Amino acid sequence: MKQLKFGDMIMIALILLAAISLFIYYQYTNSTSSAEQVIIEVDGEVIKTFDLPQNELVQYKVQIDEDDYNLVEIVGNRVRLKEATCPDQVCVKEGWISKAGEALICLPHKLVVKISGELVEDDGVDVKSF
Amino acid sequence: MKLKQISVIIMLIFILIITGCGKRSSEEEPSTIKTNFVMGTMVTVTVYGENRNEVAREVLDELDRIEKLMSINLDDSEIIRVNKNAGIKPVKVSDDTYKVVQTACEFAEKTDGLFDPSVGPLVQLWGIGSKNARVPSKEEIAQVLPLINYKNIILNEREKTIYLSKPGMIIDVGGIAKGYAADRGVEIFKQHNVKYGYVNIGGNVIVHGAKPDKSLWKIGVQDPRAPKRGDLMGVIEMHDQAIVTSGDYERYYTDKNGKRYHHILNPKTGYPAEAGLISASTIGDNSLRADALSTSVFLLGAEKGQQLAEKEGFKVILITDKKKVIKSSELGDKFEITVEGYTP
Repeated sequence: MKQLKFGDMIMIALILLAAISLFIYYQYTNSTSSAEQVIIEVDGEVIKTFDLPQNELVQYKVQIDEDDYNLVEIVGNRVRLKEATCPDQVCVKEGWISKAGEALICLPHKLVVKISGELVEDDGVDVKSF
Repeated sequence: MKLKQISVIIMLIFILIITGCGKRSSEEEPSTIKTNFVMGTMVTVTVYGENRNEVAREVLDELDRIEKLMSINLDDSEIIRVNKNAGIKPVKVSDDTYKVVQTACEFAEKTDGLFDPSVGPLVQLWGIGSKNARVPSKEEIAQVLPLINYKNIILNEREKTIYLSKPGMIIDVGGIAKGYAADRGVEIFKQHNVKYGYVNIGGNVIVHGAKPDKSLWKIGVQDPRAPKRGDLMGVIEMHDQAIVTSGDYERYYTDKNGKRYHHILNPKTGYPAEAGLISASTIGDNSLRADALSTSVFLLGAEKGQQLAEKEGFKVILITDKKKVIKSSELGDKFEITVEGYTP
């Protein structure tokens, strides 16, 4: 039986190192993609983002026009529209969101406040009819 | 020698682990999901396949084009021109607009005028969903009702013109234009050989194909009495079909006494429809017709509504004000109630 040469050992060590570091890299990139942000869009344009979680209470007023606004509130990992001047108040009634991919929508103001990431619907549906 | 072999085996194992990781994430077919505000609502287009980005873009552009033809909330559109020329002259329109108005008139005929695209003056009077929403007086309602009559919409198939024969008439096809747009979305899918995808125009959903894993699309039906949009009362499974839901919860106005007035107006009475339904979903292979039907069924009520829809080859899921759920027997176990409080 031949002795393992020094060069071979280096080779094995390097390959192991490469494999392990690649493995860790994949793990790491997977986990960073789920680091979340709050994205505020008006009429399809991103106007502001906030990283999650926020340790202190954040209130951000989105001015739609002279009279109209939506007030975004972020506490920890949760986001809601605290106030809005829209007639239906649907966005305010939706309450808090906190999961990746969830969104608050104010149709009259063309406003979307969403948490980045892909939504996994906990009710197991692909799409909703209303 | 042996150690070398072992080292080679270890290398192979690690290579397998790494490539295995890569494989797992690419095994799931990639999709493009695009959302935007079009036609006064939130639109989501989901496309799988090679040209998915371009196709999704093209679908959104097409919806934008249709909105510019048929909206009455812009400065100008074909429908606005038709309305402005009420009592004056016929207006030539695109094939798209013609088809939508013609389909609306067809269902007006089939519902004896309960579903009527010329309901515009009444919709504007109530203003439900806008800032100017209010309960109009009986006199105001009596004034606009004579303007509503689909028989005064004069269609010329050969010239592709629309003429409103009474001054002051207003047609509003904003609702079913969404159904037409969803159909056009799927036509674009087909032109590009897209195998799977869906278009969701504010809750009007049309699915194309089954899902990439061959299972059926699962579509949630809104719980009409849940406090939140997105809370479901049931789930339906389907492929290659459209589902459109009309309900009293979508848009409404609450007066100072707390009485709720929803947005589906009955052109005979001038008031929101009260036919005993709180939600009407229609399911079939054409979204434009499903859209006209869901409003028609809501106005007609359970019995007549179900009859009409099934005669047209569509299936229904209806919810009465007693929270009883009526569904077409053809749906079988494809539709399932998922919350307490609704009885089959």
